[in-house]
Amino acid sequence: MTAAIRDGRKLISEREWVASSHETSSAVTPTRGTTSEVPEKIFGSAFTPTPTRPDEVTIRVTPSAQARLERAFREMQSFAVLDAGWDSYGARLVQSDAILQTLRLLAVVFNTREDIADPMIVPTSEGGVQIEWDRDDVHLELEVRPSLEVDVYWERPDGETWEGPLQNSQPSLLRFLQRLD
Amino acid sequence: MPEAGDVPDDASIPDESAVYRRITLEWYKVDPSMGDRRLTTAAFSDLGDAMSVAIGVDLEAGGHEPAEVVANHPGYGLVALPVDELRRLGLGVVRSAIDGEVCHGDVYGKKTRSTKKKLRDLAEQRWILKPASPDDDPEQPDADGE
Repeated sequence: MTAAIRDGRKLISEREWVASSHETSSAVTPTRGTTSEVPEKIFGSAFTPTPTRPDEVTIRVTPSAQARLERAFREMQSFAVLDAGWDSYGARLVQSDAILQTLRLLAVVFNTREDIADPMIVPTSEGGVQIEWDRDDVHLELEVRPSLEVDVYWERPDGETWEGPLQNSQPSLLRFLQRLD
Repeated sequence: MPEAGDVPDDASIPDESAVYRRITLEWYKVDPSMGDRRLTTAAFSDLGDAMSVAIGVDLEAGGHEPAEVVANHPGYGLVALPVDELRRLGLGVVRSAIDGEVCHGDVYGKKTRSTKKKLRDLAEQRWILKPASPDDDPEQPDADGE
């Protein structure tokens, strides 16, 4: 599937959502493979899009993940049209690249963990996107900053917490997602 | 009063008072795993080096109700954060009046993700007004019961 953002940030094209169920992911479900079979990178080509056009990016997903990713994308479309100051405190424009980066991140989540519920997705004041899960008193959040770096925070019911940067590594992301099990 | 270290903090703002922060509907969304709306930790981030609020004790002194903080922001919600809890988290509160918001203040201090989660949990218990959402019942009475 291909997501595109036109004219900088103001219009994310829905017509680009051409069904492409034949375009299955190369991701391997961890329970069926060894760690070495899990693709190492979350984001290809460092943190920059690998577009066929400068303003679009192709994301490979499994058929079952496609509907979830489309829902997430539609939700984030609304972020792309928020005016500056949308939080009433001077929030910055949500960056198109941060939305696309979040899509890539969610593609990995949905491709590899069909059992995990869809997260809550919100814009951040500095112009990024945050995804959060609150499940049985376990809290996990991933914030995609405008710089496209990703921060992680998790908190367990016993009060144990961890926060820090997410490495560009699928095994690392999957270990964080296991906190929700 | 607990020391806030090097964090700016105005001791004339009493511990037992509260500050108020507006909440956009973007930060009060349906959690797909729960099916209910909940507040995100993203609502408690700094922009610059502080987080904007309204100083409750100043609103009171001016004869204003907390809900007036959203009077010019239709649809926004409002939460209260107790000043003593903020100081317990190592944060400080200062006055910083701006055009149109004479009771404006700033909450200084590092907002780690753990701190933002604590602020979220505090705020969830202290809604003054929830953001208006499209799924609100139009027949529901407003705050004045009208």
